[in-house]
Amino acid sequence: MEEIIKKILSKSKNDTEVLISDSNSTKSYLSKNYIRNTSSSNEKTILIRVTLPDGRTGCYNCEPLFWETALKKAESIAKLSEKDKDFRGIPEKQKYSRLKPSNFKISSEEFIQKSFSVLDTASQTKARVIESDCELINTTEYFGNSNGIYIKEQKTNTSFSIWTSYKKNTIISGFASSSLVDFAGKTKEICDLCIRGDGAKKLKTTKKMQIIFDQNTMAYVFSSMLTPSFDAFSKIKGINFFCNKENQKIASPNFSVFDNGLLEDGLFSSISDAEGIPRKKTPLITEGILNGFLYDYYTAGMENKESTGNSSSIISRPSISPSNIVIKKGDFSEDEIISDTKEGIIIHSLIGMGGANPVSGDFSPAVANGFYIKNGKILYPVKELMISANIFDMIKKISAIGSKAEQNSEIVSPMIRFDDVLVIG
Amino acid sequence: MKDFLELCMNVDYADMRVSENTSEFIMLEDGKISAAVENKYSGFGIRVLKNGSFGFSSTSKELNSKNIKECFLTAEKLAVVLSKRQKVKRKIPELKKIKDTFISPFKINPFSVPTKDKLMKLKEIEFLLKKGENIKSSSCFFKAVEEKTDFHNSIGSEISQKFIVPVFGFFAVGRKNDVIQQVMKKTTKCTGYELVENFDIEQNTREAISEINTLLNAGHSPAGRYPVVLDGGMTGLFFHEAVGHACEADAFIKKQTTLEGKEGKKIAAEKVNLSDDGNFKNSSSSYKYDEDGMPAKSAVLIKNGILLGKLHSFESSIVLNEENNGHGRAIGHHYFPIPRMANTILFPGEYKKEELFEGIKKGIYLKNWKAGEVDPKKGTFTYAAMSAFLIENGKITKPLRDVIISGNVNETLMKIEKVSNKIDLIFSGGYCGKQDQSGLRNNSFAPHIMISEAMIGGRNN
Repeated sequence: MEEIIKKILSKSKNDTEVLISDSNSTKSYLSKNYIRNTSSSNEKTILIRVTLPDGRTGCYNCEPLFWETALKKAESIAKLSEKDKDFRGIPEKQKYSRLKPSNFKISSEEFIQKSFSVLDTASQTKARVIESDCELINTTEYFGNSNGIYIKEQKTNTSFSIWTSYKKNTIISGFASSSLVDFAGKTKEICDLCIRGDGAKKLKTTKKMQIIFDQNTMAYVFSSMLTPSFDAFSKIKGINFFCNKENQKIASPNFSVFDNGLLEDGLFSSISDAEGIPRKKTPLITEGILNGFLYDYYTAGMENKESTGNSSSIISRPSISPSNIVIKKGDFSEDEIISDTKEGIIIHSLIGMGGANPVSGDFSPAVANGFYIKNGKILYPVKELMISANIFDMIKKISAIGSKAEQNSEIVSPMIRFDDVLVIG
Repeated sequence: MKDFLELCMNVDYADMRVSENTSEFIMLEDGKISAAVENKYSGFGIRVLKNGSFGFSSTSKELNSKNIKECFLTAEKLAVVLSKRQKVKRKIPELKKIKDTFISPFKINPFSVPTKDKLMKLKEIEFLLKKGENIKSSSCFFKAVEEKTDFHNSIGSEISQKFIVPVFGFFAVGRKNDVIQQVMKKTTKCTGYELVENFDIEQNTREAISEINTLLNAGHSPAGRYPVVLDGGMTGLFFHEAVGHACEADAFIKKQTTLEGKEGKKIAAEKVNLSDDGNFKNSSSSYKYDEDGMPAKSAVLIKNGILLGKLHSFESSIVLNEENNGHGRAIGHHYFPIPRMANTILFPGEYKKEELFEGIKKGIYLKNWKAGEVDPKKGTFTYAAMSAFLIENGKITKPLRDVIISGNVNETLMKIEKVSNKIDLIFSGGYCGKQDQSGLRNNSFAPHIMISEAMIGGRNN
């Protein structure tokens, strides 16, 4: 692959970036009474972006075998494109931090055999696995540009989603790891929660109370509602709630958030972003004060700043996304957070975030799995309950942060309690 | 295909899907081209049934004897691994050999239209939007996809299909003080570049600017339980999420549907008649044969409120020993076909649209779907509308923003009191996600409906 990249870069007379991705995946699709199939996939692609000196850009994506056609096509698309006064070239050669190498290796057959422990573990409980998809993915990416950057990164991740039921209750959850995901442990955790959630009651009231998001729910809400607000490009365009709020108090003083592309064992850790800029740690909110945004190379140039290493793709310019977003842990154990709650709901899963408005911060999801708490005691599971809130108001009313964090998608979060949230029963 | 057929001698059944996809995407953000991309992507996937279990393997490697053999043997190996665990063995029903070629009809091939012409159309939208009051930003896009798939199986079927699907539209974002709202207008059909030529740019941009300003001045919805009227788009989304997914046959096999054990029973108000048609004219989600090589059919799901049918793929029809109705779909050669909707259709009722609002003292009118989600086992649903209005004493009054409805599917289906007499034929094109296959083209066509009570997520009482 390195040879192909060298050939492309020596042939091209313009600013050129090349990404070759080679991925192998193995999946098993499981259900209690129905193992649908197992599958294996091998996909290779090459993506070439060519930018002319006046900013005209073209991209072409295909099988690496056809790299010569891809280069010609990318050049011809660029010629048909338009000038961009904000283009300031592509990144120069960089120095990269080292990441702890992963020694994790597993064959496809072994992975499939291990995935069966989802069914075996659930069969020892009263809950049932409706569906579980388990995936092993090995990806090697080769990136180079005409300014001398060349990077090869190899990554192995495993993940599984699980959907369990017990009587009338169900739970859907997902887990991922940069080593072998704990199939048995996580299955047991979800099955137990599913059993506890049986016998849910309607709350039949509409009022403000305390809301506790567990780690999984917090990640879901954060990535839907807050992540888009750290995008520097939408801030520059003025369509981001955080624009003109830099260095202002936007959250409770106990709330600190940073992006860390070099996080040890982080699911999205890598030595560089999609444009070859080194990953780094970027503060976003420090003790309630907004003090950072995420930039790619192009957007950073618009404000004469340095990129934070958050380019997500070379398909479009700009293209910004977080790596691992870390919410700083607090001092409270999860039991302490519950026992200190006067009246509230602890929420383990939500549905309906697709209708949320991350720009205004308004969202009204339904509680898929939650329990009613009164005077520090969990009383019963709830059903047919919505919460109606504004995320930017909520983060100003954080009354407790847990001491145990876990990563779900790009968010590393502890359990968090918010005060005065409208609950509709 | 001789190599493939020779390998098939050692297994109970096998099929192979060879795909070649070409796509073009142009995005104009605030007048600047942020993406100009072409993709050419090909590969093949092989499914094998051996010892009563399915194994599947796919690759983007070149289609030649060596790679077919390697892919086939991997699928066979995985089937054997699974067969050691799987108790119930799958058996193939009698299959009919099919040889056919289909190309979706179009007048102008979008790939033959010069890029500068497409850019001019996008710039025209951007020019009109930026003149609009309170418009802060716009993203205008053109996309065209050409999908070619050749299907072969061990009994000698050979089916070649080619679809051309252009997508054209824009997002506009408006801001007034701290209120920011977004509106999208989009059109897509299984057709040619004539789709773009026929898109009325002036009317669509004018409507978008007006809708954004309505939303910027809108208030929050009252929270609680109210009667609601849904437009055709919202109704389509409701039936897609709440009923369509619950009727997919694998949901019955896994016992994950709230409709389990209700076949032949009343599950909805009597005026509800629902079907799913894989071959609905012009729709971006139509096909002549599904990804299992079965002819597309229309499946009746609900007749006069009674649950009648399921949506089947080749595999689900084998597991349940029921007739396959050609709803096995996959998002590419690297995915296994599973039961999916194509075009879900709620048939019209007897009321004029305005009669749906009559008698509502205080309620909510939800228009233009945005997103929806359902837990099919519990039956909890949530749907979001792009725009909404308060209904007071039978009249549409104040605009509302960020409105979401929620409830229980089974209870809500019984609470459908009125169905209007005309389907809103909106070709805005949706994408559906299920398991690990998201982004599958999907459409719903429905009239307005009135539901006597649903839960509304809002701010004030």
